[in-house]
This record gives sequence, C-alpha cells and structure tokens, in this order.
Amino acid sequence: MSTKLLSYPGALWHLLPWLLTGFSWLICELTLQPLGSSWVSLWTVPASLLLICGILRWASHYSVPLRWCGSVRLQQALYVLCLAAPLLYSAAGIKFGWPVAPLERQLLRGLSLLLAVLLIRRQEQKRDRILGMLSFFIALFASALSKNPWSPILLSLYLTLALIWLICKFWQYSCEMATIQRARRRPWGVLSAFIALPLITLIVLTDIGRTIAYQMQGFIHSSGGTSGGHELALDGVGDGANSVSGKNASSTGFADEDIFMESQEDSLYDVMSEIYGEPRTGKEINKAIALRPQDVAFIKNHGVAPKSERASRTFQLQRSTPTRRYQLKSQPADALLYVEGLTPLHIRLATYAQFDGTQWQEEQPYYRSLSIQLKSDGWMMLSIPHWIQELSQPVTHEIKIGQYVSQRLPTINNLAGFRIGRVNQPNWFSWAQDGLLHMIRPLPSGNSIEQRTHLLRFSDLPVPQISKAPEKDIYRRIEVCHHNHGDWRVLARQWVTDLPEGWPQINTVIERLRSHAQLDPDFVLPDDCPDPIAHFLFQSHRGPDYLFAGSAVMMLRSLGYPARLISGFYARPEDYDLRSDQTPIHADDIHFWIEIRLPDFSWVTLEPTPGYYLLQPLPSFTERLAMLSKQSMQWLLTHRWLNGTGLLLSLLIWYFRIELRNLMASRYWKWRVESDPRRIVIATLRLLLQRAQWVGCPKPAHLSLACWFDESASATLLIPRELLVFRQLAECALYDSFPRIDIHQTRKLCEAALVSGSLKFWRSHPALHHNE
Amino acid sequence: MVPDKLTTSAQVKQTQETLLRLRVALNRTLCGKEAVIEHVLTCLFARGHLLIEDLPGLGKTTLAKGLAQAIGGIMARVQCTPDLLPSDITGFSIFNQQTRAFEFQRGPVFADVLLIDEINRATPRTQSALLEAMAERQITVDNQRYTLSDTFFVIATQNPCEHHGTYPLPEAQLDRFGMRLEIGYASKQHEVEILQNDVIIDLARRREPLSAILEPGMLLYFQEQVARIQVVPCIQQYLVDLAHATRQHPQVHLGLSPRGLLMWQRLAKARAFLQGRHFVIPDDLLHVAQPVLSIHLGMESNADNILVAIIQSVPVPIIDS
Repeated sequence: MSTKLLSYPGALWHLLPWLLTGFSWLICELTLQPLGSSWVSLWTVPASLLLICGILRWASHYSVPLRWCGSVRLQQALYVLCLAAPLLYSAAGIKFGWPVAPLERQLLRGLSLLLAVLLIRRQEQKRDRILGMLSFFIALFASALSKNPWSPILLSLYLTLALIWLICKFWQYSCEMATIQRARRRPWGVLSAFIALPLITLIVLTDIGRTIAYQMQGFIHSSGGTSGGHELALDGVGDGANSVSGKNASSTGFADEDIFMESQEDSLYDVMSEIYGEPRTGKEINKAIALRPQDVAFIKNHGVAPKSERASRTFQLQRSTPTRRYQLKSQPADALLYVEGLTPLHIRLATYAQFDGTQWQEEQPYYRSLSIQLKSDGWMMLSIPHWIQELSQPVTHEIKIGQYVSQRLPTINNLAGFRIGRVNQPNWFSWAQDGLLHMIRPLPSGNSIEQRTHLLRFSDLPVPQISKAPEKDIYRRIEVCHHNHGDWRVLARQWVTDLPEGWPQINTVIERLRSHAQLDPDFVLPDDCPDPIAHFLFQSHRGPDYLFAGSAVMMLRSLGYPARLISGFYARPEDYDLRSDQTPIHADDIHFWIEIRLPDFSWVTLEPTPGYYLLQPLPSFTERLAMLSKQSMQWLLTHRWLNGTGLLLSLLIWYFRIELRNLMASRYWKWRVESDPRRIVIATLRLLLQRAQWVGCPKPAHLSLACWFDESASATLLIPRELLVFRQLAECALYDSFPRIDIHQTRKLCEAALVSGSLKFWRSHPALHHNE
Repeated sequence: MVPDKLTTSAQVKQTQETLLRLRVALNRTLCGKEAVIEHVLTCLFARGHLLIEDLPGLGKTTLAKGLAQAIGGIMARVQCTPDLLPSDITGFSIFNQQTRAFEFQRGPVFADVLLIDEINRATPRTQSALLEAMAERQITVDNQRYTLSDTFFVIATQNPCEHHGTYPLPEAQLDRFGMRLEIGYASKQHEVEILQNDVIIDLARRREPLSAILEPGMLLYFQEQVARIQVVPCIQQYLVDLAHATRQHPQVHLGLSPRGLLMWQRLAKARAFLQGRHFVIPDDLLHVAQPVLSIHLGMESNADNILVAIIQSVPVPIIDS
C-alpha cells in the first residue's frame, strides 16, 4: 500500500472497490463451478464479459461511454434480467424436466451477474455503496457454501482488502475533520495489526477442504446436514439424509448431529420432562446435605457454611405429575423401499433366463465370484468395463430398506459400487444371480444401500458392442408350441426387415412393441391359451407388463440377440415425495422388463412396456436446447391460432407502438385534473419531449430548450410559433419562483403547443432524415 | 428619477428603452460588435471587471471611452509600462508646505471606468495594486482606506501577440476579472461603415462628444435590479455541477473557484436582466459560459473544445420532478 493511497483518492483508490468486487465474484464462481455441469459455463461467459466491461470502464477513467448501457431503462431491465434469468432457467427446467440446481445456487448466480452489471455503473456514489454491500454479501454467502479450498483464502484476501479500504476511508475522513497535525499521522500500526493478524490466523486455522459452514457448526444456525448427501445439496440444504423423521418431536432428530428442532412442537429435550414431569418449586423446601466431620468442624469454627456460587447442572426432584402426551412407539415403514436419487429407476430383484412356452424359470445362482475393492470411505467398488465408464454418466442412488427384508439386495444395473452404512466386510456379499447382490444376512429395515451406477444412453452405445449369440446360448433358447394364432418369429423378422443388425433392430422391436399393444394390468390370459406370447401379439393386443417383456425377450431371441427377463421394482417419478426427497416403492410397483447382453457380459436395460421409461443420462446443454426448441415448436403448433392471433396483434402493436403510446399519453394529459398551471406546463413539456424521443430525435441532455429549438431551426426545421411561445411559458414555469401564469390561458397555450408539436412535426425533424 | 424597484410594466418598459439606447450608442461607438457589447454590458451590470485580449487597433480603448461616456461616469486611463508604479494608479501623498501636512493626490483608480491599457506590461507589483481595488472597491494608501466609486469598473486590455517585456497576469489577478473578451476584426461591411463614419461625422463628433445615456445613479440602480434577479435551486445546482465538472476535467489544471462561481451567477443574472427577465434560465449561464470560464479556468490548449466538453457533460435541468 503506497502513501499515495492514503493521501488522496487516486487511481489505486478506484482500484480497491474493483478488486473487492472481483474477489467476491471469484469466490462465487468457485462455489458454483464444482458442479461440473456444462450450463454453469453458460452463465460464466456473460458475467465475464460484463466484468471485463467494468474493468475497461475503470481503466478508461469513465471517459469512454458504453453506449449500450447508457439508457437508464436498459440498465434497469438488465438488473432485473440478471436476477431473474437463473430463476427463469430453473422454472423452465422444472417445467421441461431438466435437472436444476437448488434455489440458493440460482440466487448466487443471479447476484453474481448483478454484481458484474453494477460494476460497470460504479462511478455513481449510490451504486458504489450498493456494490460494496452486494459484494460483501456474495463473498460471505458463497464462502459459506463453497467446498473449494481456495475460497477461505480468497475470503481472507477479500476481508483484508475491505479492511484496508475501510481504514483508509475512515482515515481520510478523519484527516478532513482533524485540525491538529498530530492527528493526521498515518495509522500504519493499526493497519498492520488489523490486516496481518486476521489474515494469517484465518489462513492457518482454516481446515482446507471443508466448508466454512462445517467449521462454524455450533456457532451459527444450520439445518444440520454436513455430509453432502445430495449431489446438488450444499451444507444444510437438502441434506436430510442423516435425519430420522417421525410422527412427533420425540422421535425426530438427526442421527449424527445434535438434536434439531424446526417446529414449535416439543423436541427430544422435552422428553425428560414428558416422562418425569415438569420441574416444580415448593413454597418452602428444607434441604439436607450430608456433611463430612471435617466439614462440620469448619462450620463450627467459621460460623457459616461455605457457599458455592458456581453454575452447575441441576435436576429438581420436586416435580409435577408427569403428563405423557405421547406414547413413544415404533414407526414402521409404509413402503417396501425408499429410493433417493434420479427416477424412473429399474431395481432388479430376480432374473429369468429360460421360458418353456408358458412360464419363465428363474436363473440359477451365479457362479462367478464377486470381486470387491473396499475403499476407506466404506464404498465397495466393483469392476465394470472401461468403455461403460467412458460413455456413461455416473449417478448415485440410495435405497432405504422398508418392509422389504431379504438377503437378496435390490440392485440397479451397471453397478459400479455400493455402500451399506459402516459395513466393511466384502466377503458378506456374493452374486445371487448375474447382476443381483446377495448378502450374508437380511438387511434390516431402516438401513440404506447406496449404489453408484453408470447411466447409458441407448443411442451412445457403439455398434460393434452388440452382436448375435450362438443358438446354444441359454439366453437365446426358444421353447415354443406352434399353433394357428401366428408365428411371432415371423412378425419379428417383418418388423426389422431391411434394418441393419444391432441396435437399430433391437430398437425397432422395442418401439414397435410399445406401440403394438396396450398396457392392461388386469388382463388375464385364457386358461386354454397354448402360446401366451402369440395370443398377446396376434389376438388380444393388450396385457400386463410381463407379456410385453416376455414377448420382447422372445422376439429378440428369435432375431439372435441374447436377452433375459427381469423382475423387480419400478420407482415412479410420479410417486416422488418432495418433503422427504424420496420415492417410495410399494408392492404395486413390481414390474417386468428385459435386458440385452453385450459380448463383455454386461447387460443393457430395455423397457418394452408402454408407460414405463428408462432413466436417461442428464442431457447436455445442446440437447436441452434442442429439447426446448422442439417442445416450444410443439406448443406453438398446438396453439397455432392463439399464437398466430397473438403474433399479429403483437406486430400491430409494435408497428403502431409510438402512436399508441402517444395516444395514451395524450389522453392521460387531457383527462388529468390539474389546477396548478405550472404542473400543466411541465406535463405538456414532458409529453413534447417524450414525443421527440419516441420518434428518434430526443433532446440532448446538455442542451437547453432554447438551444434545442435554435439547433433544430438552424437545421431547417420550421418551429411553429405556438411552440416558441410555449418554450417561454415553459421557461417561466420551470425557472421562475413565482410565475404569474393564468390557468386558462396556460391550458390554451399548452393545447396549441401539443397540436403543433405532434408526432408528425417531430418526424419532420431534419436530424431523423440526416440519420437515414 | 430612479425608481426603487421595477414594479410596473411602465417602469419595465422604460428600463428596456434605456438599455436599448445604451446598446445603440455603444454600437455606434464599436461598429458591428453587438455580441461583444452585450457581454460588456453584462459584465458592467454584474459588477464584474473586464479583460479584453486582442490585437492593437481593434477598438479596445474606443469601447472603454464610449462606455464611460454612455454611463455618464468619469473615465481614467492608465497606459501600463514596466516602470509604472502602484502609486501611479492608486495615488500618493505629497507634503503641502503651506498646511504642513501630507495631502493625498487621488490616482486614476478613483474613476468610474478605469481603462488599463496593456496591463501585462506592468510589473507584478503594480498589477497587485489593483487586487484590492477590483475585489473590494477600495484602496489602502499609507494605512488610510479610500472607498472607490460604487460603479467602479475596470476594463483591462492586453496584447496576446507581443510577449517581450510583459508579465503574464497571475491567477489571483485573473480570478478577479469577470470576463475575458476578444473583440476581433469587424466584417467587411462594417469596416466600410467604419470608414464612412470616420469621413462624415468625425469632425462633428470631435466637437460634440457622446452624451451620457444613463442618468446619475441609474447604473447603480440597474446593478441593484440585477442583484434581485431570481435563481431557482435547480439552476444553482446546475451551476455547481458545471463547476464540479471543470474541476474533474483532466485537461483543466485549475477548476472554477467559488469566486468564479459567484461571478458566473451574477453574470447570468445580468444577462437575464438585459433580456428583460426577472429569473435566470440555463441559457443565461450558457451564454456567458465561454467568456467567464476562459478567464477563471487554468486550461491547456484547445480551450474552446474543453469548454464545450465540460458543458456537454452536464445535463441541463429541464424536468426534475
């Protein structure tokens, strides 16, 4: 810090607020970036541009006006847009099903954009103050949320700079006020103490890698979560995985954290009073304290007993009758499973390989051993093909066991790893069937299985990865009785005629099947049906999901692709519970689907039943844009008449916008009741100036009325006499303290001026034609 | 008879007629320089002082003499040279042997209109002798204070071309002037007119000097009327904004001083008075901006461009509510 900085507000003085803003913006970006989503960079681009504009603006010492941000209304619109854009994005995401970040992140994004815009306009003192407050808020808010190790350091630098700035500002003010030379000595000692010590302390003591909110737990209010249970969640928000919810306060609390009370109801703190009753104080209580002989001697010698005034925890024995309002009772699960994570989700419970024409046989226990790599954080990782890791998107689900208690664990396809609480014994697990986990003992209710899987998109799979299997393969066997309904093998071949082998054929079979028949869960096959699949495909064209899945497996097998039937649970997105952030799975969520085997013995899930969907990887930004445009086009086409009429009206309004505005403003001028002639003149002048502005020849701010008229007259615009008279009237109204104006005459003159200064008159302004 | 205040329309009309006659008389003296004469009258009624900076022979002295005659005051002229002493301007005390006492001999500063020709040829010491007179309309000689005329008006001239043996006016001296004017060459048409007048009425004018237009005390009355002109707060705010703009402009090393700000307001009021208004409008400020700012600001080259930039940087108060 130079002496100059302390002596007068020079260039460095201007640089400090900018640095503060830059630091806070950087902290904000660091907080928002770790998500890694592509759309984050979308906001970074305009924010960076705005920041650069701000720097240029500062560097040019305000001498280079930015024309695009010159208009006040444009600036106001920009401020609103900055705040609203992320929220609008969220709203659109919710509407169209994109993943959206939590509200506090969107708020942070909007504030950072606003900060960048305000930086451009920071030459005005009012905005400077807002800028300072906003940057301070963003720096603190973002730092509290950030897990980036640089955030505490940047916050330290920010606070240091802010301290320097404040001390310098205060010192400058003191200098102006102080008359004694001694008081004007520069506060180097205070500066050093206030700057260096907090900076070093904060950097040394900060446990890098953990959030500030974590460091501050116990000092600040928080909703308690600290483990980042939700991938989009930051500390304390949406992080309720550790909570145990109950029907009343007595059974509600956090498993790992202190007891948290959100409602006005009693918390666990009150349990003691509920059980033993409220403490009661009697009128006179005689207390008896057992004393040792030496204590009695002490009292005799000194005359008084020693007193203790230290605070201590007490438990009063005098209590009222216990009022047990609540009976502590168990809260059984009301669902089989609870899924936390993205839905729809297919959860395997059993696999079927052989079909004898009427019934499917469950697969035998899998012979391959389960190789598990135990990690320090409790995750047990499985090996998955390398290509899946490259092409897929990793996601994490947490399945909480409800009423479903079994050794066979509900398993998701493409499992890359799993974790069950603090279980760290890999030898407890084996394969029940291919791709289905088995545990040495049933997993009790209330426990959770976290599963890390890889989401594959059907279209992203490489073509060579799928190939036909030999006929002796168990997953290609077809046992059918021929009958007169029709041969579904022929039908399958018809569907894939002229299509190349591989995914196009598989995709076609699945899609045709979804549109070929109708889902009817109550449909029952007739007792004498020899071939259920043929009956389903050629006769009934309706049936439950197992007929769709069974038909798909058999048709694909008939085309040579290895496939199997899977039964399990289907987590429906419609069942998602917003409060618990979980999707409960009930008994009626049992579902059948199929899987196709790849040459490397990994399986790809396919969904042939209409109304059921596969969990797709999160779309990229371009995909989302395409989706948005497609959905928008669909909406436009659906409401074409309404949109067409609206568009036509909008165009008409746009074309005649000036006339409409003028009409409304003129009507307003005429209808307003005004008794003060000065106000009438000012309103008239305002309307005339607005008209000139609307047609594109606004009065330059630095020109007076007379100069403006003179300039227009010198540019061959014939100023009507009424306007010249009105100009003098306006000058009188504006600059005379006690104008002597007659209201009737004023109204007449104003009306005449409005007639003369019509839109047509202003449109004949030579400046307009000159621009053309 | 001079009225106390312009209360009736007849008085307003009478004032305007007097001002018109004054303009006509001065226009006859200095042909084709209406704008300059308007500025001179503005400066006179605002109780400011005038610095005319132009080449020799353009009518500086003629204008000063004509003005003094028109306002009916006493005119004095000082031709500045390097050996001019302060006492040559203020006056000095001499010993009267008969009365055995010192008697003060008044200098030219006691005139109503003082023409100081080529002021930059006087030494700084002599120039400083004018400071008190111009600012406070009084002088102090031998610890004795002498009050000058109520309508004391200084017209100083300087030649911008010749710099040998000159002493540039210090900033403090310049700040005491109200305006800096340049007369400039007359147009061809007016030069022909000047030649014709010289042939036809030269002899007549020599015999019969220009008669006074203003009655005794009228100038002071006009100056009091100017002081009563209204300036609304938004105009004053505009004035302050302009002053701040001069102080923040990178090419202006000396911004407008509070004294210059006051003078600007007084000049704007005088201009409003000359226009027959009892309130100041932004145009009054802008009209006198160039001559006022050119003397009160310390600027580098391209002074006109700087002044335009400063004025354009501040919005005119039109509708603030």
